[in-house]
Amino acid sequence: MDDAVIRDYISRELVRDPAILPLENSTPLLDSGVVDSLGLLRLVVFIQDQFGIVMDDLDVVPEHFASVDAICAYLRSRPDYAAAEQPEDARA
Amino acid sequence: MPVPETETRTASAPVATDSTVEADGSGEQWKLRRGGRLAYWAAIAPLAAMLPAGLSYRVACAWGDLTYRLLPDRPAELEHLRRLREALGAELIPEDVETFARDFWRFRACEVMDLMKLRGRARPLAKLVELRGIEHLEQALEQGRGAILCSAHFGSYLGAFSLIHTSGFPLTNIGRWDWNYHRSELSAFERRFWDLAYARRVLRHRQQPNLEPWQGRNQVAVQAAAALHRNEVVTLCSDPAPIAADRARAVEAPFLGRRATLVPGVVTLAELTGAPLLMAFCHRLDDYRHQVLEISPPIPIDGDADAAFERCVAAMDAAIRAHPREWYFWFQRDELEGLGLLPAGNPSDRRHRQ
Repeated sequence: MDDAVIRDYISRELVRDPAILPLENSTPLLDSGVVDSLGLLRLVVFIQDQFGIVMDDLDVVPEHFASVDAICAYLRSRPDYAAAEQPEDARA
Repeated sequence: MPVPETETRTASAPVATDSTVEADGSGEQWKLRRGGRLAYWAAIAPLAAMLPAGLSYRVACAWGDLTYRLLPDRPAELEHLRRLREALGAELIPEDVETFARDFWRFRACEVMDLMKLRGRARPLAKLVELRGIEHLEQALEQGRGAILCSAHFGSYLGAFSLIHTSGFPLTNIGRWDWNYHRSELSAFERRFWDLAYARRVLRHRQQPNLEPWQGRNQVAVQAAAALHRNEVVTLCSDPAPIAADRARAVEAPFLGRRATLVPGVVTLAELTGAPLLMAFCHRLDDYRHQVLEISPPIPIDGDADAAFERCVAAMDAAIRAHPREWYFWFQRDELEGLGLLPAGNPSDRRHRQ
């Protein structure tokens, strides 16, 4: 579900060449130039707003943003993201 | 050197303002100028900078005059200025293009002297520069979101940024060192020389090393945002022509009488971080040694990025019109063509834009 949200955002806001759409979860984002420096900042702001997490700039490394799959894997590894994912009744 | 990828191209320097001349000059002339430049940076300017300011800047002006007289293809360069004058109007470049060109080289030599006077806590330079509008920066930082200072390749901007840092405002610059554009053409000695003679002097008065947005350095904007988040100052120049990778997000804006092509990255950064965006320009007075650094009130952004960027461009335009000799790009045909201020010319001129 989250991968679709992230993929849609990247497709809508960051992709400048429509020829590469539709975006796959495995499409390289940084190496291919889909996401550049300011694009990465946009993406970080979007993820923070969307998922209610605060990312340290030290976490913004290429491995975590190499693809949509990599972003999702990184998010799943964060304890605050996992907590946000838990259903209300499980948290109670 | 990889092709630069992101939107800013800010750290041009006096070392390469005559790059197109070098490209056209003969091998011997080029070597002579290159050697002379190294001698000026390594020995003449550092020694002259120890003298009282009046003498230091007299030496710098003499060096600028010499540089001008030894331009390998001076008639062609003056003709280039005349063509620019026709294209952009007499308001920017005076009829006496020889005096204009000579002053241009004097100013570049004086900027090297400025950097030499950054020694210690930069007091030798601070005594010569009047800071105006520093209260705007203080007020901007009271919001706790940092502040972005936008400038141009204009005047002694790197020295000015250093003075802001030494005035108690932690500052980081986004920009590429000029010599990194053509590292492959420089020897290891020369690269090391510029790192020591230039970068070291400037970086002593920075919060962190330059954020150089080369290809693959995708964290630059995030690092800048982190500095702003710490309520620090981030500086960058918005007047370079966009590199190929940035053309897609470049916009046109009225600049120097034309519709110039520029990248509005500075406004995007301000929008994403909420940091106030101010303009800062430093110009030299007629005695060549005193300068005025002016910081503007924040530029209104109001959710309209295009209009905000046009305000930035208008501020750069006004600064250049008021002090045209301070702008670095008059002799850089690749920049002028990339901006759309000159029709595209000989591809061999485009040393920076490969």
